[in-house]
Amino acid sequence: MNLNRRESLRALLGAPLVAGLAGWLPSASAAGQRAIRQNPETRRLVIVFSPNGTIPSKFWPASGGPLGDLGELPEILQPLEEFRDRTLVLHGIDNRIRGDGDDHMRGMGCLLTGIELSPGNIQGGGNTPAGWPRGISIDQELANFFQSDPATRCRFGSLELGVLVPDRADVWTRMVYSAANRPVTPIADPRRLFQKLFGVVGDRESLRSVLEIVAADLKSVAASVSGEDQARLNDHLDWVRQKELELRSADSEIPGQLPPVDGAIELNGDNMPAISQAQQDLLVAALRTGMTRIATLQYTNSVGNAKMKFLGIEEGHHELSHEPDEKQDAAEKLVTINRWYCEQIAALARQLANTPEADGAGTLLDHTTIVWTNELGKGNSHSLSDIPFVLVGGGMGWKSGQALQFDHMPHNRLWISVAHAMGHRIEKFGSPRHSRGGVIEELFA
Amino acid sequence: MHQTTSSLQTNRQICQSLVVTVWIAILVAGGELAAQSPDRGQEIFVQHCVQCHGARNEGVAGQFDHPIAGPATREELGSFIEQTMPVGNPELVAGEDAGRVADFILRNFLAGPEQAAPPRIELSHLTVTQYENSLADIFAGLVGTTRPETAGGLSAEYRNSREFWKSDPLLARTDSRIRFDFGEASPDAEKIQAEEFSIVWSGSIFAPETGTYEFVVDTPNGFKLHVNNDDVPLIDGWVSTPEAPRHSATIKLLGGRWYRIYLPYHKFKDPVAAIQLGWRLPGARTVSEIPPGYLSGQWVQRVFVVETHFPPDDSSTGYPRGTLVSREWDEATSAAAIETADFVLEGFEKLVGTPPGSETAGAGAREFCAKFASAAFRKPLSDEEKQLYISDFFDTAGSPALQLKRSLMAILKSPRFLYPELVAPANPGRLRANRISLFLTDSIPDNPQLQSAWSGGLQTREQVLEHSRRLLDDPRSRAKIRQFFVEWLEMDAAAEVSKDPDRFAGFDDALVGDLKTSLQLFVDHTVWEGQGDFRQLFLSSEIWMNARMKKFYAIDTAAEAGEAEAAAAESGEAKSAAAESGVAGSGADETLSGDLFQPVSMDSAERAGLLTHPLLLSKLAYFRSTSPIHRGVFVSRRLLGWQLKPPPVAVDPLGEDYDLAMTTRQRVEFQTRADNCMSCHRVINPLGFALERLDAVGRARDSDNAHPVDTHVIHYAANGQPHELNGPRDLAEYLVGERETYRNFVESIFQHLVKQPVAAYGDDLADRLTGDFMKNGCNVRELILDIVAEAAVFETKKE
Repeated sequence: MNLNRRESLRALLGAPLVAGLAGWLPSASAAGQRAIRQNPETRRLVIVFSPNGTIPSKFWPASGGPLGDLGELPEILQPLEEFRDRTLVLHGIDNRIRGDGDDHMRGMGCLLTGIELSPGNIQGGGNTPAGWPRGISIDQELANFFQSDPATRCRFGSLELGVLVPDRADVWTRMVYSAANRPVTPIADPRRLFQKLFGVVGDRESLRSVLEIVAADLKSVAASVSGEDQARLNDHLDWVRQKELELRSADSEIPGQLPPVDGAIELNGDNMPAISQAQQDLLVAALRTGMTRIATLQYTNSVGNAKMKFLGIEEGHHELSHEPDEKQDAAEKLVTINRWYCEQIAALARQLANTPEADGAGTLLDHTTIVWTNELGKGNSHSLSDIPFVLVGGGMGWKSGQALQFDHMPHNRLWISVAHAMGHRIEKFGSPRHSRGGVIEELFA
Repeated sequence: MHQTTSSLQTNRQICQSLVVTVWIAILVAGGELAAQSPDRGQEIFVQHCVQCHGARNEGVAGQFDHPIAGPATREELGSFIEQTMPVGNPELVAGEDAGRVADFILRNFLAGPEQAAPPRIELSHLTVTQYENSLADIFAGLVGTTRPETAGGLSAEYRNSREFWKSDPLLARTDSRIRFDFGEASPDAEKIQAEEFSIVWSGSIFAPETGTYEFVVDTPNGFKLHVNNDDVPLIDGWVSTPEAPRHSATIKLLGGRWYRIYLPYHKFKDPVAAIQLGWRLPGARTVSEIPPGYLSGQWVQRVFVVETHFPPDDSSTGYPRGTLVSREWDEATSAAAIETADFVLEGFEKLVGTPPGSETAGAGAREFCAKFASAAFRKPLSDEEKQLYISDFFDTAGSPALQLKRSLMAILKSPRFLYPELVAPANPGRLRANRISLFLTDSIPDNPQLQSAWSGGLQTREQVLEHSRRLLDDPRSRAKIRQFFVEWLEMDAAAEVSKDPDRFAGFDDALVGDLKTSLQLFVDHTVWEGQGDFRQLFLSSEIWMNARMKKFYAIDTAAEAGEAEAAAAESGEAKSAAAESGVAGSGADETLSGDLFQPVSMDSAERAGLLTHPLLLSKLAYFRSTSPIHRGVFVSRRLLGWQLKPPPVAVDPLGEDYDLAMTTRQRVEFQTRADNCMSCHRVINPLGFALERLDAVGRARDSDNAHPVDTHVIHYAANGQPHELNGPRDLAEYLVGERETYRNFVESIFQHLVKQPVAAYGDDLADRLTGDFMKNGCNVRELILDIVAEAAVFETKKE
């Protein structure tokens, strides 16, 4: 697969058109930007997932307090150095949901939903079999909140992106739920995502080139038919010409530069960096053009066993994560892997920081919070305590530049806090029991 | 030839024009006409007609506001005037006077060339149905097409593991229906364990009509359902949701085709096991079981079903045809071209035969597009077409994928594809093959047909007939004919019917669905089995019923079963193949399943074919009571082909409570007794009253509102002849005795098949077809072949 990179972007990819080829893109994105401008407190949320727990000693700062006081960030977090003052590390937050399903299953299925799994037929490595979670995930809750108000409505309530998410639907591969038992499939193929977001642009160009030929041919064949039939073909020709004119004028409205997506990245472990980059490019373009304000980006899946040879690691991620702490070699590899994931967070933050808002008021990162998380605290113990939560970004009142220490804080309360920060004032989320206490005040400056 | 109107055209339009006229007895001189040589006909016209029709037949606002239109014979028009004109005082113009005024009208108003522009074959684009089917068959031609040879159920494999792909099945069989409740037990105590097992059903499923199908799976266990797509499941329920066991999703399917279906299912540690697969047919309100005759254990190729929504076709002349070129239509052709091109790009390697990044991708894509264009244009490509639609794209810089996309888009936007006869192939055999496919299957010819066209076939009428006869057996042709009957008998509107639950307990959505199936089975059976005798549509006293219908219509099921058994014992075989396998006839897919429905013999005095089918009787009735007017209008419009104008004033029908001492018939007679009503209702009412023995849900009755039902009527035929009729069978026999009935049917089905007016193929064609139809045992299949042959060999005059 070696399609020409540039051309595949603008012309090759296409989505079926719904409401005519003049296209939603200019107007819808303009509306989105307008909506965001009208709300001076524009807030966006991007939740990023990476699997199999972390290496705590290389991830958590030795103590709570300002990150600026640390000489050096912990090894895994070092890629975030340039965002030190905009980063919030939350230590001591637990996924306390119990019930059916093993730790990986609950780690994933309850991560964004904060609620128990239903009984079902999926058997993990222990405990009872289980099905899907019993409730909605926080990103979908927020998407519904923003979509319900015309002033904040976007073309997409949310976008679900994936990198090497396997093509199978179960509680290990799905973290986003639109309701109980309703998993949402992330788009793991940049080509498909491009098609969903910008397909119409490429199609417009293709259509324009085709219409020239159609118009000429219509004219030539019309000569061979009788008067009344000719009139019908002339009507047809009129519509084709009108379309051509429309396409010509629409062309000048494409907002800004579109990301260079390779139309044919093969979806395998070797291409993971390229896929990651392509997905991030598209995500930033979607945020920049006001297509959405809520997104999730899921790297592989719970128990994800990506073989990241590009890091010089031959073993799969999940099998490595089971190795005991004493195994130095495995631990080093896991640090490398987690550090690579942190680089992805940093790359996304950097791109957001380098992209000005459409209205010129700051950059995207000023109004976007990235939440980086994981289904486990620690891989080899399958612990659901001390789940890694790192917030990067701004504009929502976070007490940034800090490492905060909590004592087995249920993660439901973090999601309640995120909802409040976004302007959605909910009292509980997911399990009512674990929602008790509501917003975590210490998170805010 | 076109200028002289055929004397045997029905007098429907005259009838329509005259019947609603309101007569006001004011004498006005027709000044301009008086200047011409006056005759008796003119005198009468001036004296009695101009008040409503105007001196020059221009019509009079508020009276009869448009011209009298032809065609009609002197006899028909004269008789009509004698019977009805002037409205309210028909005795004023009678006998020879009526003939004279008819002469005058015919000579002065109906004979001029401007009165009736000769119908012509209009340049038409593909209708929506033709577009969808053509695209499906272009792909079928490129990847090969298969049809199952047997039907009756899905292939099933049973295993002891949910990881069904890892082992051979322990049990393999055909399951005629997916409707199992295993409880805590296993599907097979000997071979299969209860705690964990899997079943994989696969094969294909038949879609009887085009539309959106909802597939519904009820199970507390895990499954995936694939329909027409091996890669992406229509429903992914592999993770069980015992608390929400119903799963459903919709998919658009084209009628008359088989689609691959794949349903892996497993139980793992769930307390119980059960699964049921059903569907909701297009337009239906309830989920029903899939008839075993629609399931096959054999796989077929994926069918390309274009999802783009097209605006509906112009149906202003009574049938959908491709004569409306609108912005929406043009937009839809663009969207569909993009959708189709993207479908090819998705499956590039499979369709083109080489990966998009390979060395040979460019050559492969070019070849693919050339084949695609030839299929789409229904002819070998000319050099000009090759240049325009293939080379111009592939000789420009770009990836093979982009070149392919644009070339395909151009082909699908081309007038050469969109207007089937715009650029005709040079080979006359090819042209005829194209037409036959379009008329019978709404599609392009598939490959075997091309072969015979290339090799010099289809030269003679016999060859054309033979070829058509073969194609008529194709399920796509049958689906098209079935759709004709759906439209002709307005069956879709019937699906909306609802009745007073207090009076008609049990008349629910499920029953309405059954009624439609029942009528379709009856029509299918009559048309495709045996002699295909059109008259049986009116004369048969059988109604197809399933258990629910039998219960509602109080058929003694025990006696029925006894009879069936006795019949089976007598003949030494099962009562019918249909009853056993769900498949009637030779092929696997002609008819709806028969195993749930059986023909039931009814009292022939009260039942006569279509006229007394409960679906139509229920639709042509009110919530609580019958509507003789709706029934009469249906018979005159649909079955006799008369066109009736809407009533001059809006009238609310009198309800039963208007006067409890009156029957429905009496109320209708009372309410339509005025002269200006009777001009139409003298035709409508008797036709409806003849059916009064059947109530608002089509059940037989002897009394209405506690009064005996009176079905005795006098019906006046178009030529004014009175006919005494008593009850449905008399009416049916009357219709079967009228040439008009056949003529109307010929015209209707001609239009449905050919999408052009029959008169465009010559003034006398409809007559000739009608005459032969009546002579040759009224065989509907032979009529269809006759129509197709005539229209296929017709040579358009070059202007």
